[in-house]
Amino acid sequence: MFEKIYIEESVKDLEYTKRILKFFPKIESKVINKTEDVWGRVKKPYLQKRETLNLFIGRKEGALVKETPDAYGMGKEKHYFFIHAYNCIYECQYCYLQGYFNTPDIVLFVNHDEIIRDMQQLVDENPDSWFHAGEYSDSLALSHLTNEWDEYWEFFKKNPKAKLELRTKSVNLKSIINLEPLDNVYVSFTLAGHKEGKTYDLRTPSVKARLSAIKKLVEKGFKIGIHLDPIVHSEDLENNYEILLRELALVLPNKQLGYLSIGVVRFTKDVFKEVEGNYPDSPIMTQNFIKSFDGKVRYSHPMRMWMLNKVKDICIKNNFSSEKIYMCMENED
Amino acid sequence: MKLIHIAHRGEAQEFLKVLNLKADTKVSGIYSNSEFALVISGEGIPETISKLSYTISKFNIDEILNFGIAGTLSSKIETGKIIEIRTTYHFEDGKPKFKSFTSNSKTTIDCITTNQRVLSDDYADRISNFAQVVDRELWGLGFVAKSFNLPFKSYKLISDIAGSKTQCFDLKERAIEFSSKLLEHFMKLDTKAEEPQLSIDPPITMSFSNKIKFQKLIHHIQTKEEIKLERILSDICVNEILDLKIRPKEKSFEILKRLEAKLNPINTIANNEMIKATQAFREIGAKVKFDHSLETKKIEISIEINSQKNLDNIKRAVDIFDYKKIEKLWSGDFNV
Repeated sequence: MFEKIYIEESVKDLEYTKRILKFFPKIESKVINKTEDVWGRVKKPYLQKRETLNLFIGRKEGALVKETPDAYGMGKEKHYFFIHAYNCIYECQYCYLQGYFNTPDIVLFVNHDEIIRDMQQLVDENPDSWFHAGEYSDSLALSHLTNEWDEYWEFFKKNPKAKLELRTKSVNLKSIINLEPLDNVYVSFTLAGHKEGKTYDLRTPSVKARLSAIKKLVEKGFKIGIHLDPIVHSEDLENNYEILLRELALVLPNKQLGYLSIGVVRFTKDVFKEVEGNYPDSPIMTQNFIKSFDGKVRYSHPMRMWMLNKVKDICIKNNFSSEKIYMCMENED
Repeated sequence: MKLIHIAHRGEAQEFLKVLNLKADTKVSGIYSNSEFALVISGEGIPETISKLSYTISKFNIDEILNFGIAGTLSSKIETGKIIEIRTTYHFEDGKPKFKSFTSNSKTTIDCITTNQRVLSDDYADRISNFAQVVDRELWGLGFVAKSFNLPFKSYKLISDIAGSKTQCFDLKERAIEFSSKLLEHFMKLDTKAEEPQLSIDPPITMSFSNKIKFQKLIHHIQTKEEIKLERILSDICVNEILDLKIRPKEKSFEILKRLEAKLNPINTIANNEMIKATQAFREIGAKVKFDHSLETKKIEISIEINSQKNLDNIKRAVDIFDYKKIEKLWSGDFNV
């Protein structure tokens, strides 16, 4: 899976580090002074993650928990995301990580105690804050290696007003399936039509597998969030989302749905340039995008509104209540 | 024409003999025949950049091929082997440079170019964080290739282990051996130019720019919908267009318009709705302008007024015009 493992000196003796290393006894590892001495110091092409992906185990410094952009989730509470990792093993063609970091190499931060300490300070000020995991990396894909979620569970048990969202496309439930479902913890899955998932979400579990992961969690009593974002237009878009939402409704009763977000594909100029270079033959490159009012590359206003409304209607038709649906719109990006 | 780049004359000697290359009369180290140009740059990045830039501006180059020796920084790469390089990095004055250049090769071995010879294990260890082999020129070649938008490939013969074990061998002594091995490798490569892809001909004679548009639209529809050309042409009723009693130029325009609508149906419908909603102004001779990307809902209407009749017409058109229709369109409320 990994070509080489770099371990930051300050975390080499932590239990989390030792646990991760146990999984890779045959992979060459090297202790380095600081992650940033090597990680991201040179421009490593994104698609080299397919052949030579390195793993860094490090300590997150600076801001461990950050305020999210506006309209990140529902409600008027404060929203934060915390950084437990950089980069992802999956390869979604629209992913903004392509243009975000200078390298696809993965960093797993293991100073969870410090992240939780900072979260506690924020909860002391605003008890009903939301904390999102998965901004810079899938929250569950490598969680069987890192196994940090039980520590966070304890925090959210102790702070029942605060809420946790684990954003994922993974079906790797090992690290959470045996934890006690909490009312303030949401496992949220990004879904797309089966065809769209197959076309754009490379090296990710299929949409079918994600639906069965949702089913397993629902049966255990977990709260679920759904992100239908980003939606890419195709001729059979309505039909594909009809099928998806019908199947979703069969495994996810509305009462266990926390929220459902809908958004259409959009890129910053730099990310779009990366996507163009990495996936020149993707149907994404055939879309009728425009340079929008804020410099982002996206569909025209009527087209994105049409797509959002269509998918919202399909959700409602399949008995997901409209109060739980929110749209990721440009003035809220 | 391919451009072969080699740093040292010793490494190039067998190439010069076998390829029957003739020396440039003005600048030393540049050779050519009808198929290849060869440049001997000397050691180092500045030398590589200057010689390559000159040669590229002189010949019609479509690809650069680098041949040379390199030291290994990894126990997995043995000496004596020839490897193909994927990406080239640069380490200078104790720091890595951010920019990297990636070749056309589908391998997994990267090369770091340094501005000094690697003679200590500590230095070798530091640069090994970024690549598995080290040389003195390749990053310069990558820089030039990027500047001239040319693809490149690099083949390195692993001559020694970089670090304290570096053999300070005299290149001249082993040059013939290195040159022979590199030439042998070169001869095995398929250096013929790739066949151009077959283009799709439109069903009617089109201007060059329209033909390009046609091919691009067909390619996009095929990628998006995974359907064959015949199906696309049938979907846009191409035969119906060909039978129309209009000029060929108008037929071309109609074909392109229908292909555009097939590729982007929603935008086409939205644009048509916009035209319909503002039709009353067009009917009285006003010019109506709107943003065809539909990113703004602003409409510009201009008309000359030189009689009471003009004013009455405007009043009537304003009465008919329903801005709510524009608002509806703007919020995606229309049928597709």
